[in-house]
Amino acid sequence: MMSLSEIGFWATVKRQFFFKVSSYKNAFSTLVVLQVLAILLSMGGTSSMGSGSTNVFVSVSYYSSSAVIVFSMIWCFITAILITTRAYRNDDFAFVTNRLTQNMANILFLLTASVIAAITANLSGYAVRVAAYALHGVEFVASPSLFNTPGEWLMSVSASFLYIFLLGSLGYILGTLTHLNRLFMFIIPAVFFGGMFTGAANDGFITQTVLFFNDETSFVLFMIKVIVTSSLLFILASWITNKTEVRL
Amino acid sequence: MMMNIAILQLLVFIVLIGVIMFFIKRQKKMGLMTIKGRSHNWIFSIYLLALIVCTVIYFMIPSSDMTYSEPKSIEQSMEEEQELHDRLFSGDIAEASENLRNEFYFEFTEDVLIVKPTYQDNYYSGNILFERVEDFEDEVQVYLYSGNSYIDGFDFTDRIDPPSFVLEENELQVIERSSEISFAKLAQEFTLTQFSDRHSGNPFHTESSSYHGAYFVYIQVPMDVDVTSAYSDIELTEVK
Repeated sequence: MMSLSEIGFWATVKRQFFFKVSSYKNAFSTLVVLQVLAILLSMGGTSSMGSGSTNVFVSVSYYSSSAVIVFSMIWCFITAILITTRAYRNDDFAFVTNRLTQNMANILFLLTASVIAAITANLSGYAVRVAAYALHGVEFVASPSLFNTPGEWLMSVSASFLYIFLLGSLGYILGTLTHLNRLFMFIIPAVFFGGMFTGAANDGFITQTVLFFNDETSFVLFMIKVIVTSSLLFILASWITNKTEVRL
Repeated sequence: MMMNIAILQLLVFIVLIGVIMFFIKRQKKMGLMTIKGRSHNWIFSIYLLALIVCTVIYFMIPSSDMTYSEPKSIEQSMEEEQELHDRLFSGDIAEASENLRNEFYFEFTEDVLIVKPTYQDNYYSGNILFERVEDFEDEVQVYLYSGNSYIDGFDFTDRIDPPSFVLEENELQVIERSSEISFAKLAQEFTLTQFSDRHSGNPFHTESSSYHGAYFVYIQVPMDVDVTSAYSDIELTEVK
């Protein structure tokens, strides 16, 4: 006797998502390695400034976890590209699946990865600060309180999450495009590097794109920009993969 | 120059991407991929625990060890110094006592006092003033004042080695010493400063400002003593 059981869309997505979380654990080990690397690099100071007069030279080294957040963004970008590769996509065919559930599970995985990366990146700020205090004898701080208020911490984690997820969505669409046609492997770097140097040094479209997000001083508007952009990128990626009828 | 910086940034970015790609793609060779099942959980759990321990340690740092100072505008610092300037140039030294860094007393029996800065020939960045005082006899009194020096609003005036003074016959030498001062400052992440008034537009650039206070050498001499400079380029101002 044969029995056919129908699995719903979200049930499939859920199963694929949990499968991805457990099978991509190595990605989180990589995140740990990269964040530790960034913490070590930050111990020399995230940035510094110097100022001098005739016979007095004064320098300040600033310590924060900005480098850890940037490393986490790059990690998510590359992880997103990797999960679009053939080896990872074929794993999904162990399940009853279609392109949509596959993409949805990937998006949920990237969301989870971004949340974890954002929380650990912001927690690592304390490790950087403790190291700076122990090694360099910190004497003054950038905010009235040594500790960010819970609201500030939450905002920093949320903004980090949005940045990391944005880079994840960018990696996902680039990975999908590259997978669609190998030509994109050459077109994307050419557009990227060309864009860096188009027009005046600071007016290239890459710079303008970065400024579109980085110059936004309203958190709500920044959140809307990131959510809209990421959604568009994921919708585009899903649309592209839906167009492909056979296993890529 | 801008182009060189852009190329350098690009190279750093490419190297960074390369390093991260290397980490991710070569995990197998580095042994991360061979760590199976629960070991991944352990790596992550130990890391998370270490981060939480660091957070607890950070909360135990006595906050009195660190100072917070509101960033001060250059205009504000200049105004403060202008007030000091006006007081000294009008001879109102009693009102400038807050800015007094040091004072020197010398016995002096010559007719002419020659002021000679020794740090750089023909140049002195401070102001040199002198005042003839009726009560003075066979003595010279030197007061050293300075405006406050700030970096990001943090007053580091006391960290600067002030000039000292040596009298050799009738030559008053201003001996300046160079100071190199470095600070460590806990900054906020760009994900927080972006939404505050400290936004600089660059994750690795922290908005900062500094102001170096000027020195004022105030010399009191007897009525019958002439005061001149060892170098024609260095001006002396008589306070009357």
